Amino acid sequence: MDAKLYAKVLALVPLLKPLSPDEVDEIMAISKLLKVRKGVKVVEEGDEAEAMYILVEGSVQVTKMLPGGESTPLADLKAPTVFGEMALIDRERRSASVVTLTDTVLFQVNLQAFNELRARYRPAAFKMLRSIAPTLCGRLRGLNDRIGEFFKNPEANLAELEQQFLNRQLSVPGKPR
Amino acid sequence: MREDPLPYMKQVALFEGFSDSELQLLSQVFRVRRFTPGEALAREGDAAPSFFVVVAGIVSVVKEVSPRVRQRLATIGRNRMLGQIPLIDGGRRPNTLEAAAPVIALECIRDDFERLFNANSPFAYKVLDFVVTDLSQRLRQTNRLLEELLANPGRTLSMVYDAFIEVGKSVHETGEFKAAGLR
Repeated sequence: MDAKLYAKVLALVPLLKPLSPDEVDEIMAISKLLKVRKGVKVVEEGDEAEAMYILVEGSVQVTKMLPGGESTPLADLKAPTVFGEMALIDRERRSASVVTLTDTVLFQVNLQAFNELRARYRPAAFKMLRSIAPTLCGRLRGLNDRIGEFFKNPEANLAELEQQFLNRQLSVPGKPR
Repeated sequence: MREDPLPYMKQVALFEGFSDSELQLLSQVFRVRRFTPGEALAREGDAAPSFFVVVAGIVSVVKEVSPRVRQRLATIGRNRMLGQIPLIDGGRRPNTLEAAAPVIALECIRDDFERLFNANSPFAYKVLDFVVTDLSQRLRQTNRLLEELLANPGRTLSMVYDAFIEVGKSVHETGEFKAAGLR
């Protein structure tokens, strides 16, 4: 990969900075850069996972289908971040949907090919994993803080949960109040 | 005198698949640590220069909610790693790690791990793989729990009530805050 293209890729996807030009080549060979318009469902809950995504530009919403068929938003993600990375570890189906909230630029990495690099202990794959891992840590630290917050004021939090429960009961037709 | 970590390394799954000479090399970056019940391996909020691999015993992961209230989040046994989050992001300890039974653990300094990683050590790659898998699983479990909670708020509430009654009982009887697992 020539120096100019390498610099361009790194400017676009800073997560790849620890990788050498040859290693970036290896990742590019199994990836695609996609421009996606606002309002497009990029990941469909229940589908088989074939890719993970680096959100290069724009923002997306993660939503989850409830058993009643109603969809609930779980999180809004802003670039630069990663999504669909849970599929890195197992072949389970997508646990949530992802819809673009703005026009976005996505770096789509083919999972099967990535896992082949991983199985061959290729530095390119592990340097990329090392880049992605802090995002996972950030999400877990966030959950950990929320647990702490809950137990700092359990009564108020319990009351809020109860209120949410009541509101929910009231909003579902045909359910006893 | 420094205790040789090699015999302990051979008991742990994380070190499987490495040759004797590789293990010999790795044994230089691990230190054998022993903890008595109640003793802390690490404290929440402290700088985190190292991670641990549990060889024997049980470690409680504790959230320090306030100076008087402590919430146990998990118990971790043999073959598991502790301190993955700060290993990856270089941040402070998110929780206190406390021996719940006599513990033998192998401790590795983060800088040594970084050096191994930068030298493309297969061991460092394996650790990273292990860590990323573990983090992803924890995220997936939490998402599942969230899903259950959202799908069934009635059950959630009764579960939370039960947990608090138990906590109240424990505070009343022992003067100690011991939360039941919220599951």
